[in-house]
Amino acid sequence: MVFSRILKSPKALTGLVLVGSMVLLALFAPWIAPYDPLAIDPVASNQAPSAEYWLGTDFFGRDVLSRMIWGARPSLLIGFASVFIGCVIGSLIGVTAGYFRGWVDAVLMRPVDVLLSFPIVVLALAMVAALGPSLINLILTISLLFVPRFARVVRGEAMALRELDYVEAARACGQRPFTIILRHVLPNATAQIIVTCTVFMANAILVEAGLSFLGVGVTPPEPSWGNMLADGRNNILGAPWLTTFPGLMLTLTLVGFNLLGDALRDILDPRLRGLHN
Amino acid sequence: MALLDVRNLVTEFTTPAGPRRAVNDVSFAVQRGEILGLVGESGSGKSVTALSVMGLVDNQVGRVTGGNILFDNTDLTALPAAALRALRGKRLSMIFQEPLSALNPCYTIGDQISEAFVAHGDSDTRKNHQRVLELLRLVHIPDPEGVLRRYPHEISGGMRQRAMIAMALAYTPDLLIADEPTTALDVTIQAQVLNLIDRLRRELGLGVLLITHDIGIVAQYTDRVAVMYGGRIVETGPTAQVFATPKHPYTIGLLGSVPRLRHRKPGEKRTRLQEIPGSVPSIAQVTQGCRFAGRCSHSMPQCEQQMPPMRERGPGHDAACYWEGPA
Amino acid sequence: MSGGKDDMLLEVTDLSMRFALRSAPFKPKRHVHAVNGINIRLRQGETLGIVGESGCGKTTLARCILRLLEPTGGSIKLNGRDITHAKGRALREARRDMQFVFQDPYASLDPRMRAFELVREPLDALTDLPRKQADERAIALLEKVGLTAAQARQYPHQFSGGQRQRIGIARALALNPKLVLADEPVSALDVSVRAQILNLMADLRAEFGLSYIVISHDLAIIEHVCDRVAIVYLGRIVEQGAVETIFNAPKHPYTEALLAAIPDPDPQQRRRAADIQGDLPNPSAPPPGCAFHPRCPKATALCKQQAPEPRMLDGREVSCHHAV
Repeated sequence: MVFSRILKSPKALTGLVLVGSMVLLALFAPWIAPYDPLAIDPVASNQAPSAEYWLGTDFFGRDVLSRMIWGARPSLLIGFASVFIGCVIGSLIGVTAGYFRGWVDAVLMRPVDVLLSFPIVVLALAMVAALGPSLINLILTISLLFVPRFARVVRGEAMALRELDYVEAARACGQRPFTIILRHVLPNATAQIIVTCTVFMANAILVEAGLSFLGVGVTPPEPSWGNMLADGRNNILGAPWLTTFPGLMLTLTLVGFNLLGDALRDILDPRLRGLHN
Repeated sequence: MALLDVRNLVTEFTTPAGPRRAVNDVSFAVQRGEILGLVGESGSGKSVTALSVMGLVDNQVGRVTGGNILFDNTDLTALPAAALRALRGKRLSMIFQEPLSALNPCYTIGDQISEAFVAHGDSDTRKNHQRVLELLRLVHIPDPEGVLRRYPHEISGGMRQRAMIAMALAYTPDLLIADEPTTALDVTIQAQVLNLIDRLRRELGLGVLLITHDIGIVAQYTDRVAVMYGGRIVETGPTAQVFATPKHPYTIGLLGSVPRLRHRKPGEKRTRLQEIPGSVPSIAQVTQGCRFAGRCSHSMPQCEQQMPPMRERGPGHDAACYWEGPA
Repeated sequence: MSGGKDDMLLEVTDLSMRFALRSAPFKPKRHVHAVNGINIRLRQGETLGIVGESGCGKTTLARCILRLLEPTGGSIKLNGRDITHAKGRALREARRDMQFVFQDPYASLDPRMRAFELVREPLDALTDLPRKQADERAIALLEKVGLTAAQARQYPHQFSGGQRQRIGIARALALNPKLVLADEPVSALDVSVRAQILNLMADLRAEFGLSYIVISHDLAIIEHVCDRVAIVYLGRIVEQGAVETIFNAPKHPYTEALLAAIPDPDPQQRRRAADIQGDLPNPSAPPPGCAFHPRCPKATALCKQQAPEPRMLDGREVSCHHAV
């Protein structure tokens, strides 16, 4: 039902195609990429796009197209993994705090507020500096950034839902609090959670790119869009293809996730659902 | 000549399944100094009828696609938007069900009532202040000077509805449309507001179109009544006569199904309420015939095929039904 | 202490519910007494109507009795068991015996659950009935309230308002409760559908020997379904007794005013309701003495100073200095 409505919405469809193609690129990188992304060719340094190297080469003579395709892997992996972890932990904190309110709310949300008060990049830099750069640590760091944000969103949703008649009706008929959360509150918050996931996915990818750009993310020579941008920025006028194409990929991915999130918000909103039936 | 003469009004809503008629071939008239009750349930088209007359149907949702609305001999359906706007609030006024959402919370009551004057080009602040005070006195608001300076949330529901009425009366309109004006109010306050409307009708000679679902209000306050069902008027006539000898099975069912105070004697058995089976059809369902046929105990084969036309059943009393009525 | 002579189902004694108002720091806290010293006795099989205008505390009272709120004073006994401050398991056990029918059948059913799942929910929550039997019972209940087994698999948005309220009633009956509280059970429904629901409630009462507490602002509905009635004004019961007694000869001026304000659905009986002047007072700053005195035609100096105590008069309990 939701899927057929996605197909009918141009916005959702565009988003889905963009995100879908990025996922396919990442999954099938070894088969799609024409060259080894790490293979150095000192002869072909900083070449402009040509029939041989479609998107040109970088300083070390590595194929930009291949690096860009492989670069989708850390971006998406980190995006999906950290949003997933952030979503699960954050939603549980948020729904518990929002449903019970009172001291439960206070105990759970104070640490969340503290985490929220740090600027994203500062917190991420500190974490990575402490843990050391590795894929797992990056995922953990970015998850930690999103836990409080999910908790906030889901808490708001839970606070609204707990006041609804049908949640009160469940209490009145003798239902246990945790069953109410699982059967009534969380399912009715899923629309909001899914939308939040897509938007935060774009954010997570951006944070990953930012950290890689600053040199604390994906470590060279492994390619990621962020470190490709960092590498190319010194020669942005001489070899613009080094920054243009990874930048474009990043942009398209973000646009894709944002379009999808925006469209899902409309599609999943139960208040608008009646209009579609 | 009737003050408001609506003829064969059709208002269509755009739905994913195509246009659907929310108001279907509706005709009625309101005379000066008269209260016409428009009765119906949710989805009967009574509110859409009112919005159509006011030219306030949201064009994203639907529009008037047929018929004429003659107001003092001018056809409102043919009027340009600007001319209609000039009439609205001046000669045609409307009050709504929920006075809290119809008032802007950011402005004081006084400012909002003066707004009615400013909208029609009268911007003399001091004079407006005086006129607002007079209006508040007209609707019997105690302490008008104080209420003037209050915000909508600071006064009670009954006061708000009176302020709304005061706003509607800014230019002493000819026609007042009241859409469920007391549904959000308590019974004791309801009586105050309805008595006020009735008094204004008498004193100012207003024509009033009173939209309600409350049979009691119709019985007590209207001169004539039009019963709507599924976008059509199914029965209309003088209130006393329609209540005494209803002809349409829906009217009969409606009057019979409303619990009324009977002042039961001790030990007296309760009577069972008369039921109308089924539920109100949605406008999305398209039917050839009478929309009530599926719930009607007197339906005949032809009811499903063709909408029964309005037929006179008494002086000024019409009903749209093939059935001859109770013997 | 249950059993024995009494078939007393519900005893509400001197019940109060105060809500603290938001106030500026360092200022004394202000409170709203939404429910103030209310006494109710309900026997097995009796129905009680609670009548009052919006903001009078009737819904708060119902929510206290159901223990969706914890009262700040007084006590509630259900079947002889004190549930005033019951928590957790004890509270859920108490809900076996009392269930709620909500006012708005559109908002009170979870849009993501099918009709039979909604009806099954109380069974899941409070019994060990195997799923299959619970499903069967849920479907049987839905059929009892006039829906079909096929409809049992539909979602709330596929039903009309009246049908949804039937689901709400079936759900309230799932646990075979003794007491059903209904808060304005028909006010959100279309007029032509109300009679169906009121008749259904009457039938179910006769069949299961239920007790109802019906909250409504509509006196005609109360007269139709209730044996006894309590008129509430600003958190207090001003008059309580048999429906016939009170509606035929009201003693409290407020009851009189309410009865007079109802528009009679007979155009031959035109009588303009006597304007009862003024508005409901602000519950956070109730008038001293009798709360009704600013609107009361019979008010005297005594009414302004002293709140009247309930007393028995002509077979009903009334709180008015001047009732005769």
